[in-house]
Amino acid sequence: MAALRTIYHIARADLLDRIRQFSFLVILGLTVLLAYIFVPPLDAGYITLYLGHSIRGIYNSAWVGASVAMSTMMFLPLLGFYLVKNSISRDERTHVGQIVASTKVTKLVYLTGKTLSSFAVLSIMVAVIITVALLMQWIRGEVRNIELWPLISPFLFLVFPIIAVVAAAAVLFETRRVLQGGIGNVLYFALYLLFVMTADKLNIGISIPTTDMLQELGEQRPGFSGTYGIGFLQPEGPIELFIWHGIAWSSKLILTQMKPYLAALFIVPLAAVLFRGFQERGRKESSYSSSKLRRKQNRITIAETYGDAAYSDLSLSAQSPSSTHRLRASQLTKAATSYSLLPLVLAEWRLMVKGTRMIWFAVATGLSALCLLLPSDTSMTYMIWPAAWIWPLLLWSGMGSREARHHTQYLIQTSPRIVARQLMSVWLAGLGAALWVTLGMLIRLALEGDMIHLAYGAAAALLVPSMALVCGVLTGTNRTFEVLYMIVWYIGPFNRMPYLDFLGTEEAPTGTGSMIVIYVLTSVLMLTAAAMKRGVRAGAVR
Amino acid sequence: MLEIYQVSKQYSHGKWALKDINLQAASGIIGLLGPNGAGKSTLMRILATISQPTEGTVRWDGVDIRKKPDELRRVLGYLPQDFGVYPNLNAVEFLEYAAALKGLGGRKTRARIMELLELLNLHHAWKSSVGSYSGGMRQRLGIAQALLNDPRLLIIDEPTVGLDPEERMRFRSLLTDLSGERIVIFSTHIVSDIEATADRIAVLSQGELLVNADPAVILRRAQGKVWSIVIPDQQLQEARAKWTISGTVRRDEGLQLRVVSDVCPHPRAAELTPSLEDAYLYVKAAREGA
Repeated sequence: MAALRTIYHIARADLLDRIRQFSFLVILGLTVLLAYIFVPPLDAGYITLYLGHSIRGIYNSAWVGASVAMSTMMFLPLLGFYLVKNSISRDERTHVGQIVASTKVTKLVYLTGKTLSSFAVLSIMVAVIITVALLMQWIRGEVRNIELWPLISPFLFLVFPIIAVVAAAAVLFETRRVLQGGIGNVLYFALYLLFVMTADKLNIGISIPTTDMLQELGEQRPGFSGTYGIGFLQPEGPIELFIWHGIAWSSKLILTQMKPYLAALFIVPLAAVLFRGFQERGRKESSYSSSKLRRKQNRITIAETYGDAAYSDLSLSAQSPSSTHRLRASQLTKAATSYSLLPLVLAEWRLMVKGTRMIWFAVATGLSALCLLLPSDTSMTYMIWPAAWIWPLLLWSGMGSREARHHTQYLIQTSPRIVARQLMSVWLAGLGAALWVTLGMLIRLALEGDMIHLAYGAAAALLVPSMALVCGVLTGTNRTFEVLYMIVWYIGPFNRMPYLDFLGTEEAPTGTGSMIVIYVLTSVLMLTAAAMKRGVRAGAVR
Repeated sequence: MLEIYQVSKQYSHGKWALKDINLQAASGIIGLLGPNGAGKSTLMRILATISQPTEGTVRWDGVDIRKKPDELRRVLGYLPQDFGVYPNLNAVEFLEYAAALKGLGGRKTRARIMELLELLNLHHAWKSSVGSYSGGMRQRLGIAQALLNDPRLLIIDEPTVGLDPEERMRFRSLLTDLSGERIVIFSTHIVSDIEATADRIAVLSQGELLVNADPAVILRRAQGKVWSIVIPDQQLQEARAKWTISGTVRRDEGLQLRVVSDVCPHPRAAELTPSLEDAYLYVKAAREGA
């Protein structure tokens, strides 16, 4: 009982802290907007769920409930994860974790509370979506009779089990440092794609209503043998309507849909095993006197001058006064001011790549070399070229947000001519990362005389660092770019969707000239937005 | 020359963080003294061009820094109270980055960085990532960063927080060393830090500048206002409610109190020579009583 009470209070405190932030209100607003978009009118020009090429169900409660639930299942596992994956790091940042560490609360109890809180946050969003779906059925008015069970049941049996897994996974991905940052975000995105592709085989999620819809449509229209599409899609012809009566939920079907809950129940103890707690991490990171650091100190020659006293934080002045007082502030070398851009670009580049392992550079160089050596068609067909564009993701994502994450804004805000110099330097460093992995392909395209794809590549080299910079400056976090760019990259260059395919990987990309102009203009707009935002921070904070 | 004219700052929720601050300085060390929430950091953020006053003007060499902040930024060294570092960089790399931001370049920059590290007693640890530094080491790195461009105006917010007594003494001596032609403004709520270094003391309380004067002048104000009295232990609460107490010492015969009061608090009370802490409390109590 005591454990349950503790879990409840951990979950409650965490939930209250989250929902009392203004950002949560913004997220609910966006959720309402999304739910609104999920139920488009007949003449909207897009459709979120169709069967065959352009058939959709009439907006009765069954169709609205199921179609909105399916759209929710597409976006919430992805965006919801990135939204709630900050619970433990927040406790770490606010030092609440140290209080937790000093109590008897076990890791399992703590993480269960955190999971429940995340589940509650996502549940609130789903509840908002259900409410808007109900309103939208009435507003669209194709069928005014609202039936609660057909409307709500798809959420109950399809969406809630999935968000339970998302909540547990968010906690799991916070337990180890390697999973907390960009690598974890990329890994989760890959797992999400895997889930989307395999959910049908597990007989959970989207396949349940779509199978039922296709079957019922087949019964109504003998000879129908199409499939379905979900997303923001343009129907290939005029939209045709049919009446779908909803899913007949048998106890067996309901039980099958409970599988994700079991997965969540497995993930939380796994997270507790992986979680190091707050004590160990704090000691490892902050103690200057750790044995590792002492060993490192031994290699520093200058320290040897002072013997053991040099290891002490303060003892130097007491033990070797002559050495510390020989230099006075008035004797310091005068440094010259030049305001040259190059040292700052190099400094930003070093900041960007610091901590990056050699393997990153090896792979980046390898990708670039492959693109240079192989025919460009081969690089595009075998996804080497698109792969080169996702590889610097974690370098780019730090752009513009690094200062906020490390509380070093004071350096930026008090330095002269900083908006133009620093922002440009960060952007050039990002461009450097882009060129590192793509230069080989750009040279290859030039040698092959493929000016169209060369122009696409050059425009992308401007576009992607600009997008990273504006995301970082506007939101103060690296997560925004990581999530947005992964989505854009997956839909665009990877799946070759028009407009978002900024590499023009189609064999004969349409509207090449105008698209390149759009990409360049977008880059300029994004850089302007970043400069304006930074300008306000640097010069006019009121 | 730094000139602050009638500077006020109001936050969005309506509270005034600063009210009608006037202060001018040409050189020397100004100690900003005041309790937590007095407005010290707000004033320093305004002077560091990070924030702007709701009313009033700040001029540097006659130039309004709201209109031309870069005029001041070129010669500014600033260390905020809550500052961050890039944990993966070592001390030299971090300072090189800060130097690049400040527009410093050339071979002399590297030499100055190494000298600053020696001056701040960080030279033995410069190869270690700054993420592994203790609080005191980080604080010293922050001070080194503020000194990179040989600033004419050095603003340091609570610089002695996190420093142990010995490091504090070293820092005080460094501050004295740094003064001269430049202006150094540092804030603290530790009176002894100011006592040891400041040429001038500005006492802030609840956003108002209570006094801006030479330490000797402030001390003179408290002359004849500080008393010593011994009371039984159990009367401490009552005494606290009645008098402004600047110190207590436990004696065999009871508690010896330092009482700051305009009038002799008790027939058995003996007059004491005021310390700066007494004077600070006297100024503060006088304003609160007014």
